[in-house]
Amino acid sequence: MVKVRGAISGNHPLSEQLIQAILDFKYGRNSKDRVKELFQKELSELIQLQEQLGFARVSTGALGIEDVLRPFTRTLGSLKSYEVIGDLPINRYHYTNTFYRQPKLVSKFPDDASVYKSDKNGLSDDNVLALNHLKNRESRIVVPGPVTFTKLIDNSENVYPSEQEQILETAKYLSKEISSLPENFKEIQFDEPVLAWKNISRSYRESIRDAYTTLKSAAKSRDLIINTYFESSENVVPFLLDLPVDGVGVDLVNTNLLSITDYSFDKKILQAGILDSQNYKPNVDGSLDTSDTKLYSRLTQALVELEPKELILSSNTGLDYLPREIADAKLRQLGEIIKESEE
Amino acid sequence: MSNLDIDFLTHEVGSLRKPNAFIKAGRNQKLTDADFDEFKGFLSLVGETEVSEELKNLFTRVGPETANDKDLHNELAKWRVWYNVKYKESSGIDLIDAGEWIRREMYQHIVDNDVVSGIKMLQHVRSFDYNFYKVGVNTSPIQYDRSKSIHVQEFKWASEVATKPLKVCVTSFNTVAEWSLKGKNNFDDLMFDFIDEVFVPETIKLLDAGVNWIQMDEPALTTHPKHVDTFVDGWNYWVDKISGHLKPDTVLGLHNCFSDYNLLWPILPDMKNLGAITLEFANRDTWKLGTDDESRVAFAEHKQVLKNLYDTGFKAKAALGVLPVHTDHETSPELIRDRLLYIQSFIDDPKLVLAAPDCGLRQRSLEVSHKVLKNMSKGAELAKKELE
Repeated sequence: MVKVRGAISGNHPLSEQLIQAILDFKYGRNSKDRVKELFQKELSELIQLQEQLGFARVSTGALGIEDVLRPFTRTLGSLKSYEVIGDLPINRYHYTNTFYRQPKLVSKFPDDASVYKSDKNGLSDDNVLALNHLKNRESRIVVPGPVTFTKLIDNSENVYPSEQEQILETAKYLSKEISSLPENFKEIQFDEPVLAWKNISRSYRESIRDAYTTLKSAAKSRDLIINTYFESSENVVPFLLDLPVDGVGVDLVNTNLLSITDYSFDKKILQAGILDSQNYKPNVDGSLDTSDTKLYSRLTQALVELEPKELILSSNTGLDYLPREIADAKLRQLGEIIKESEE
Repeated sequence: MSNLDIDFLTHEVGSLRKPNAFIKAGRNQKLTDADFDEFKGFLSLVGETEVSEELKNLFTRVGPETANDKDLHNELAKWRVWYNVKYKESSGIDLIDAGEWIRREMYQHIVDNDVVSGIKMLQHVRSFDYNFYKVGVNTSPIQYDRSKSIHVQEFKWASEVATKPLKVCVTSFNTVAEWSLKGKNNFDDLMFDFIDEVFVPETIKLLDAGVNWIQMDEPALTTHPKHVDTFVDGWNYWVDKISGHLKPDTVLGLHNCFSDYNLLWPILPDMKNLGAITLEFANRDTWKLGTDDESRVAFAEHKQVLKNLYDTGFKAKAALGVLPVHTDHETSPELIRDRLLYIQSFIDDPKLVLAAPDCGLRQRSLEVSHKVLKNMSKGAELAKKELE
């Protein structure tokens, strides 16, 4: 019997109330204490929601973290201007209307892990991992994968002689960061959307394989999942399945299910991004229309027939592109889909 | 109207931060003495010292009890536009846009009003850092009330005080479709619904009202590479529909920013009547002075393709951003000069080279924006002197 569970697969949005508090703070209309108070409440509620829905490994949804690179941009000494982030250029995160500050790599990655130990969340001023909320809970974290990390930053200083070498060095550095994570982080999702966006040449594939061998070695018994999204994963799935990782994430909003049914998932966790993080079907009042829950539960049954080691249902990536109410409604729908598919 | 056919024409691109007094008045909050003092600080930027009696009278009437006083808020809206124009003119720039201080946000302005229906506004989502915008979802067919207009009144108010040429910035159809959650619709159909139902009649109203330069704001243009060709179809379809209302010197401009320009260059020659491009470059450039490739790295990356484009007859005016908008770091006139001269080195004709910020300066304080816009005007003058 294939175990099916739900998960948050990326950044989760802030509530309207917290956003208003942030804007009020930004424009001098209230204190940061109000922001901190709401942040703690909101994070607590998000974790409770996951527990209510039976998500076995909970996530902070990177709540309040400005962009996927920000903990590194802010804290990693190898990235230029990490103390004056406001001067860094703004770059569009592909396929979205969301942007990130692009750091420049100016020196080799350090030998020690520093970011997850010392970076502070901009909204809480607490450690970025929010361990006070996660203690004693099996947890998961989303980390930019070495290929995507390499592609997103400015490499014009040529710190490493080739991109392939930089991918390997990034993996070595990230392996130290993930080794530094507390024991309760049982699952690490490496986001590698770039692998679905671009054709990956054979020579790169070797470097990527070596990079993930390094990462898996550091992850030890933690499950390591590599996730792709915003384009069809069809062409890259066989390559991903061949990597030394525990699980593979497929964007089923953009990938035809029939295109991956011939592959063998039996030794891997399949993270199925079945819900769209960039759109939803509305009822007349704008709320989420969940009338397709039954259809999704049938899709889930079809995914079970692929006989993966385990099936994680999620949105194709974090729900940060939707308002919080809709995002939470999608998480609840995931819970319903899992229930229905078990009946 | 002054001549727009000048070397290094300067202009602003989009929204600016609003004076707090106007924001509070819009929220029906009583203005305090401190608000009036702060407003005087704003007035000093435009060369005035005192709040006029007429505006003071309007401000003092604002409060919860006048929340539904449409005439009062209409009068205040007019003053917003007037002061926006004065602010820009006082910075020395040549081409002024018609306002945006009566617009809440560029997407919301198009879809959340009493003219357009079909999009239900939702709550905020993140743009970047701790900046957010409201998204909307398509819940019903897109419709436009032809008895009204979204932009014409703003242009008319601006025309009352402008001493320099005016353009109107319009959030364009591709971006509106990209930024709308599609609901049960799809991108292509939603974009063409917007063109047919909203953008064709609205543009005709603007042209018939005397607008001679329309900047179509398309920050989302290359977000989805597969939508780029659809946009070109949409643009040409839109131009065909409005062509009977265009004058020989009407400028239809395109603004795009924070995007993949490698997707943009190939489509530009295919866009009918494209008279100007306004793009973000300074954000990607160095802070070093100089007209060498290394100092002007952002422009150098695209130099050859742009040179080829202009060498083969492309004639649109080009504003490759010379002023970054997401930093308080001050761009000097000399740096702006060097960026303009570098651009001119491959576009050749300085009348085709425009000076503009990367995008709207909304994230900056009014003081910082005014300062850097003045620097931009000075930088353009320095560049002209170099060519003498």
